[in-house]
Amino acid sequence: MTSQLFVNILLSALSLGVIYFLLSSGFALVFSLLRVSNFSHGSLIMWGAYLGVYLVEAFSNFTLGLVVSVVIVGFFLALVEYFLFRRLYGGNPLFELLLTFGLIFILDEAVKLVWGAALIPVNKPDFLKGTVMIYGEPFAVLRLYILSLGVVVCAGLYLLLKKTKLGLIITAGIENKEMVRALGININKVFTFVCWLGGFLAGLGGFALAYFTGLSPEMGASQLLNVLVIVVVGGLGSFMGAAIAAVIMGLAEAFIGFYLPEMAILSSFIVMFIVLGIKPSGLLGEV
Amino acid sequence: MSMKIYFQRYWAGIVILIILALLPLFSSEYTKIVAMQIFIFGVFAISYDILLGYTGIASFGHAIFFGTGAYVSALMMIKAGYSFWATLPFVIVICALIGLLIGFLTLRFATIYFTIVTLALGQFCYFLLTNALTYQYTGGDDGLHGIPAILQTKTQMYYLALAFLLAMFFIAKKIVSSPPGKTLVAIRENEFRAKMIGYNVLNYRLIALVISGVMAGLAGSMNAAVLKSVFPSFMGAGTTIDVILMTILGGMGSILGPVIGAALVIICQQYLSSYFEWWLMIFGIIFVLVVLFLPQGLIGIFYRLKDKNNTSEQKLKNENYNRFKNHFLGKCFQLFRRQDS
Repeated sequence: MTSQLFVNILLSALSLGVIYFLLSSGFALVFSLLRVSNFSHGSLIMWGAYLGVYLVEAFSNFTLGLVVSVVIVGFFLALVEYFLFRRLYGGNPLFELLLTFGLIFILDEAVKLVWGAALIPVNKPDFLKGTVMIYGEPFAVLRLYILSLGVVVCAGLYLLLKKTKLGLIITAGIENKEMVRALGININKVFTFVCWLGGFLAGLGGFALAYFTGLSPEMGASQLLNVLVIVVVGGLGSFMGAAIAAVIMGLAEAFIGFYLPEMAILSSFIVMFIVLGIKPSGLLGEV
Repeated sequence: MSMKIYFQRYWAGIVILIILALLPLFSSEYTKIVAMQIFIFGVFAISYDILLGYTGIASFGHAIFFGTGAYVSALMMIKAGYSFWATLPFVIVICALIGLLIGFLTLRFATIYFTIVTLALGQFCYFLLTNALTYQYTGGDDGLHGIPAILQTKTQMYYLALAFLLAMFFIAKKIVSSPPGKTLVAIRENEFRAKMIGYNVLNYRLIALVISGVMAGLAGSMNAAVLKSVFPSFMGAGTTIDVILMTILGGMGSILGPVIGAALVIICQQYLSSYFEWWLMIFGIIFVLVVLFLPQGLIGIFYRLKDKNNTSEQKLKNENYNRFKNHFLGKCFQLFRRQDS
């Protein structure tokens, strides 16, 4: 293997890892604060993809379509939190899980109802077509765009969580909700905001994925599986763990896919079994 | 209890049983197949309910057992020429082993871990089944066909499936009302307290998973025998989703509920899906409403109506009301009497 090829696979793996990070960060954030495992996350990703592509074509403006679609998906999850999750806090966590599971049916069937059950190919806007030369090998601009999107989101989340007062409240809420309440902060509002952010990130991940794989009504279910595996490998409730696991998954999928193509579909399971065998609580899990 | 009291208490069940027993006499072949599917998925849903409703752990890969049972029976009957009954001990042993394996791998974690890992394991098994490597054994996406018939006619198969459901129903009833079954409920309600009393929580959960897995495996091999073919979708996510729908809609934590849920879901699948495509969306809305407002499922409505006058609270209210009434009326009578005299 030449070093050029190696760099090329490495960059592909990184862009894959960044997509996985975009997809799973919302789930990890919502879980770490609310302790709700949001099974409808995959469906939100799908909504982000369909709505994003639709709005970009409707507005014929890339940035506007992107922003409007992800904000709408965010508001959807915030509404779900406000009207549905709130009724179940403090009870058996099983019911929250089942509730989000029920939402999958509604969201997935709604996509089929609006856009039909067929696969839809996505036309890339002009500035995402073509390749650039990196280290003497062609590299798709689309992957660069996704890499940069991931870096921007990562930096934004870091700034939000570490440098703002809201981030401080969120971090404190992850540690101890009762204490935050006792300090006179209305944590329910923070919950709603975090759900909005979770939906926002899901929509963004779905939007990035749409230009990568096209649109299909099955993408919600398959992405949910990816997200869950990544979050478990990273350690449930650990945001950093999910980010690291996403990059590891990207690397594993790209390299296993290159050397053993028939095993590529099982690569994420292989990584999961290895990690859980060594450390059952995941990479950075606290359990 | 005398016969009469039994009849008074369970008259609805006895009537339904008689209807089910007479059904094959005047129904079409198609109705029989749908009814058999209901019986088999009823057993599958009961097995899932032992895990979800009584033990409180949500497996999202329960189809692993169902598919394993179906494929073990089918493979042994087609490739090795065993009779159906001879494959059942193998199904039981293999499903129990898989249950132990999954349990040891995942039950140590918090319940949400169990859910996610079983989901991933289910997909893993589905991929294994449809893989090119295992094609020569499992037939890949096409499944296996031409399983020899175990009984001559459809009607006989119908009675076999009905007997299977009834047997499993009463076995499950016995299990959940036995002391270990009560312990499972105690663990579900408060794991920490059960641990402090001295119960080995992991062992009890393992037992529940093994029992549930074996029952699901038997339902799977029954399904293979009825349909005379097996498909990889038996092990797919769709089967798990179906069984979750059945259990939640019917009512978890009661053995009868999942059977009713199975009837509901399968009848809707067979008859409604041809009229409008988005019946799953309506099911989703009902599902969400049930989870929010009716955690005991649709059978909860029935129990609530039946026990309206029997709950201890209501009894107390009635007692107080009677006491008040007697007291008040007594006073009135006293008043009248005094005027009389």
